[in-house]
Amino acid sequence: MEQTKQATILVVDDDEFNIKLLKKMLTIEGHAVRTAASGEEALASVAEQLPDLVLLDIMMPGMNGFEVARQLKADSRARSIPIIMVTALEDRESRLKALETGAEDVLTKPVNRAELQMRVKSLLKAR
Amino acid sequence: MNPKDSLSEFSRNLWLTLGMFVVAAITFGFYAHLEKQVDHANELRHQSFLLADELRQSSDDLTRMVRTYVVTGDPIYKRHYQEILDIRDGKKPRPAAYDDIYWDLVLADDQRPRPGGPAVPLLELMRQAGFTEREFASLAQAKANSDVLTRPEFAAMALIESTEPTTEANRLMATRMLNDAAYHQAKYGIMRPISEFYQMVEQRTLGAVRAAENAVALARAMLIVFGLLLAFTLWRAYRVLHATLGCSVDELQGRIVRLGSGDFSSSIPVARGMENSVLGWLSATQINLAQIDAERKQAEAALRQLNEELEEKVIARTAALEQAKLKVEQASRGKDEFLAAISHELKTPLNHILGFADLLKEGLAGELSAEQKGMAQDIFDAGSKQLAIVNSLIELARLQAGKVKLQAELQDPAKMLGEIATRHAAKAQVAGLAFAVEVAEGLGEMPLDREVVTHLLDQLLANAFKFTPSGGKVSLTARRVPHTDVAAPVRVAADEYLELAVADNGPGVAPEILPRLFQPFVQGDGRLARSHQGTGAGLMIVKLLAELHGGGSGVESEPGTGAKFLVWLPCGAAPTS
Repeated sequence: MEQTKQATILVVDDDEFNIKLLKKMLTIEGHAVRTAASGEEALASVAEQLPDLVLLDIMMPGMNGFEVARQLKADSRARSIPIIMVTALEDRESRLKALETGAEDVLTKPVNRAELQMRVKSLLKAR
Repeated sequence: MNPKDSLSEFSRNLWLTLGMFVVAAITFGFYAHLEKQVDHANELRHQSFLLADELRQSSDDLTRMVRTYVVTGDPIYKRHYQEILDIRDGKKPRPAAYDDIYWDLVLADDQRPRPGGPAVPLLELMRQAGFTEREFASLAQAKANSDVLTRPEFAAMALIESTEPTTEANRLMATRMLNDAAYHQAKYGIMRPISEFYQMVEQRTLGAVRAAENAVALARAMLIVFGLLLAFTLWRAYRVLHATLGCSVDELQGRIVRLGSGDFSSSIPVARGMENSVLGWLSATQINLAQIDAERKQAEAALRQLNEELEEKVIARTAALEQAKLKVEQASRGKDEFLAAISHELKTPLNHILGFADLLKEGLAGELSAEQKGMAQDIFDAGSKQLAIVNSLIELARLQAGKVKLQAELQDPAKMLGEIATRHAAKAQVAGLAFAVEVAEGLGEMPLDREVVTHLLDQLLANAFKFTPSGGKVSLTARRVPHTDVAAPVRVAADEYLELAVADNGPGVAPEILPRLFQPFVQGDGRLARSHQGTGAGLMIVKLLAELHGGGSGVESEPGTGAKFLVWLPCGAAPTS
């Protein structure tokens, strides 16, 4: 089995169980995981040190995922960081909106472990 | 008095008055006739005296003319003499108004004062005058005697003419002849019957005039009596009429006019004892009319009030309905918000359960015993089922709320169906079912929403797989059908429809369940619902998706032989949501 490059992934979610679950799924694969519980925290974390990928929840109190993605894509330093948005909204509009704001991929809750690992792998490879 | 009697008495009085009037009129006519008779009798009497006078006058005139001729010898007197005789005997025309002074006028200038009339003998006039025989005989005697006297008078005239000139002796003799006792005796013989005639006529005509005058007096008295009677009956008729009417005609007319103009309110006073008169009836009628009018007005007022109340009720009810509608809308909005919240709040922890169970059963959080792994698998399976239910409910709610928008594109259904069939073939194999797919040739392209159609068939196939026992058969068929073959109401009319059918040979559906099948929480019967976990939301979702796509859905089933679920989607123009 080909070993992919270890990466630093920022998981942004206001739900602690989500963070725990996603973190576990990604650490199994050998990635380093940083977490942020809000949009503001996420932006601060990125500003401090650029991650290799951002896993971004859409529905959060305060600044939502769309806004975080918009600001990251507007930041010249962070622009190239791939973003996977995670949505509970299954309708096409939110999926489209996520892609429009600049997210590289969209995952629908519940996040499938294998799917997540595959998407992350492919996005990191593309870098 | 009975009003009917009163009326009949009035008419009886009226007839009596009329009869009295006729009698009075006849009496008056009779009176006038009698008056005329009195005049006629007086006229006759006058005429009688005139005729007798004429005879006496002619005798005197003859005597005067002959004596003057004898004395003067003037022949004009002789001619006058002869003319008087001729007129009396009807030989010369009789002058009009041949009265006693006629010859006095002629003697003055020998002119005839009046033109002559027809020549009629005096005796003839007397005969026509209607005298009694004795009266006529007296006058005729007087006339005859007068005619006899002309003989000595002619002899006297002849005597003075016997010599030319006349001798005095002859003149004297002639004068004596005309003045002697014999002459006077002869004169008496003329005047005596005339005098007798006067007396007779006087007696007779005066009697007639008296009798006529008496009759006139009687008639006058009768006229007065009948006139008074007429006045009395008139007065009586008026009294009876007044009693019948109960008031004057003018007042009655005024009352009727007032009633006629619709004024029923002013009461009509009736004098004591007049209750049965026309005015009494009118008063009773007025009271009835006033009462009816009042009742009508009351009914109208009640009706108006009812109307107003009804209107108020309608307004109140409408307001209540508006309020209820608002509440329903609020509730619906609340439901939408609730659903949005639930889809997040319900699913999030469920996903966590599934996620952690997955990690456990896969041994990614440390190696577990086989039993522990099995339990983790059970947690994962149960969670998965629950998630499916929650997802169905949320989808159903979103469809019902119209939150799902159709996005149809022209495409070949055969290709899409092939992909769907492939995806389900493995599941059928796992369930131990035979799965057949029959897609008709040449379906062509049509506007379809891939996601909707896929989802719809996923639901139907999942249902079929779930309810068909192992070893059973499930088929998916697709074909074009004319609109006449569509056995369900459709939202968009089209000539042709794409018919998608999923059939199985499972337990089927009881007929009484069929109509309720496309409602949530209905799943065959209770036993089935228990043995096959689920909410029954699947078929409802199919129905709503088919409608969203402009089509409709239906089911054919016979218990024991299986069920066939059908969906018809319009071919042709893309349906709008």
